[in-house]
Amino acid sequence: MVADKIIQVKHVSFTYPDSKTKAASDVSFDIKKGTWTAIVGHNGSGKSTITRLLNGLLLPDKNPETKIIIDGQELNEETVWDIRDKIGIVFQNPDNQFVGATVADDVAFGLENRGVPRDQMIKTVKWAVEQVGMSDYFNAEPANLSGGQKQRVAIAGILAIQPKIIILDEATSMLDPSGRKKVLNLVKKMKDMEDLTVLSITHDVNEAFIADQVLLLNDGKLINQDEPVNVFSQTKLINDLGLEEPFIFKLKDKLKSVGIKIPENVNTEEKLIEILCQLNSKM
Amino acid sequence: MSIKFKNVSYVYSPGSPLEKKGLDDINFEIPNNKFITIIGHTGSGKSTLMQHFNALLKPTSGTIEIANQVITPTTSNKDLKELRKHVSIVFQFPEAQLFENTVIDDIAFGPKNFGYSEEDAIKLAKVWLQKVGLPKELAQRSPFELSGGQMRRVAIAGVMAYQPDILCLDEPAAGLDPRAREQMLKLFVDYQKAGHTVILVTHNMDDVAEYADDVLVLEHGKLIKHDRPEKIFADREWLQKHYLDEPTSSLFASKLKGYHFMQNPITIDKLVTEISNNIKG
Repeated sequence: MVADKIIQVKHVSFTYPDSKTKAASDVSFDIKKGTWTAIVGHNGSGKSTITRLLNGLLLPDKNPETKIIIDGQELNEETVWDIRDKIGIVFQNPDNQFVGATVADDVAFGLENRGVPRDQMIKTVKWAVEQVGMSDYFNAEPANLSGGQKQRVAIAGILAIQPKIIILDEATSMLDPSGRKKVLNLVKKMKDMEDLTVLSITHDVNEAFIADQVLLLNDGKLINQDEPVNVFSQTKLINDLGLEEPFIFKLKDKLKSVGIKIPENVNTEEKLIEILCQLNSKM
Repeated sequence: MSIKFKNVSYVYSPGSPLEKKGLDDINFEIPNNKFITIIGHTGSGKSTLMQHFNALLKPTSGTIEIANQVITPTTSNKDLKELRKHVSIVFQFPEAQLFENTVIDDIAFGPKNFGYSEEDAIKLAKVWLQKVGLPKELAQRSPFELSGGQMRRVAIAGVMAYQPDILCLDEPAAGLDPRAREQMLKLFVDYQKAGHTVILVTHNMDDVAEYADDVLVLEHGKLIKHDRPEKIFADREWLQKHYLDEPTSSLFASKLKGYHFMQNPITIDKLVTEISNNIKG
């Protein structure tokens, strides 16, 4: 069924003006409704370019085969506004997305734009601000918040709109570990509750591991699309691409170098702990 | 010559309804030429503390001794230029502060501002362009055409080019990809080893475990602990109470039942050694 594919990308390329190389090169993929996809790749690999193509912030290079279909609608001049309503993007730097004079105003901005009735708006804003743990700062000025706090407000602004697709463009990279966990748990909860589709652009291996699937990009090309464990267990490729090997694979390699061999199929933390405990008790 | 904070407090907007304590009676002394990390939650006062190192903020009360100067609430601004030559701060997202037409001019601005001749400043800029891992070819490009990670490096090169004795950085590697992160941290470690003090604000406990000589832990504007990383991470209960994460390695170690660790393995290499000692007896 086509209907359960909320995002379809077919043969999409993109070249920035004055650039000789393609930032996205013949990329095709589908994303199922209600799933979590992590897009990984080093800086400049084309991750952000692809997300900007999805909502028409950038237009793909001309090619008759190129198609971007979002929630059943093909992206073109007529549908772009509908499609942008369906996608909420949280960018890395919250300073570039603030408009309101207070936290509450800022979160309300998207709702005002969409003509949401005031009663409803007050409730939604309060709810969204609570969700990101910023209720104590409801009337605070954004300028008085720290970087991490600002980002939580930006995320509240997106949550208030309740889009069908949320794109986290390295949105958690400035948060402290507990803030990051809170936000990711929140997005996960929202995703399950509202049947949202999540795309997260991230360098954080742990964040990529939450995903149902990983899209691995290098120099604008999609080079792998699979479950996180399968993508990251190709440690040589991961290292060659300048990405971070997950901790357990790094540990396995280092143990091997001191003569402690761990079987290939041990690819989760639980399994590694189990086998290390067995090895220890045998001695 | 060390960095000394004595009873330092800072109050934001004193006497107004927005009055808020940023720092609360901070006392510490850190020796020079060390790698110092500052950890703490969002809003714990890390950035406020950082801004006191070169007197962008002056204490509301207390005294600071740093780089042969004493800063008090009444220190006059005109005495501070010399201090800022010795103590530099790189804020979060320093790429937002780029402004020159070319990369090389942007890097050279710092040295020129602190009295280097045009020629020397450009020379230094060329050296630091490469030290931060950027190709020479970028020198004449506009900094605004670069990727985010490259812009970040240009901004940092601009500060390192005049070689401050004390380099303070607020989450400098946030948002960079893992390889770029590692290169950048190595750059700071090398800088410290070459005889400078590096002060790093970070949330990454693995970096703290790997690189820090000293750790300052802040909470609600108070300094709640100042110690070596082994000591900081030794007390699991204390960490949990303050919602601080452990390094990945020691967390993993805590899940290994039946193992005896001579020392809490806070880095991956220490973990490998400990596991090996257990298994091989």
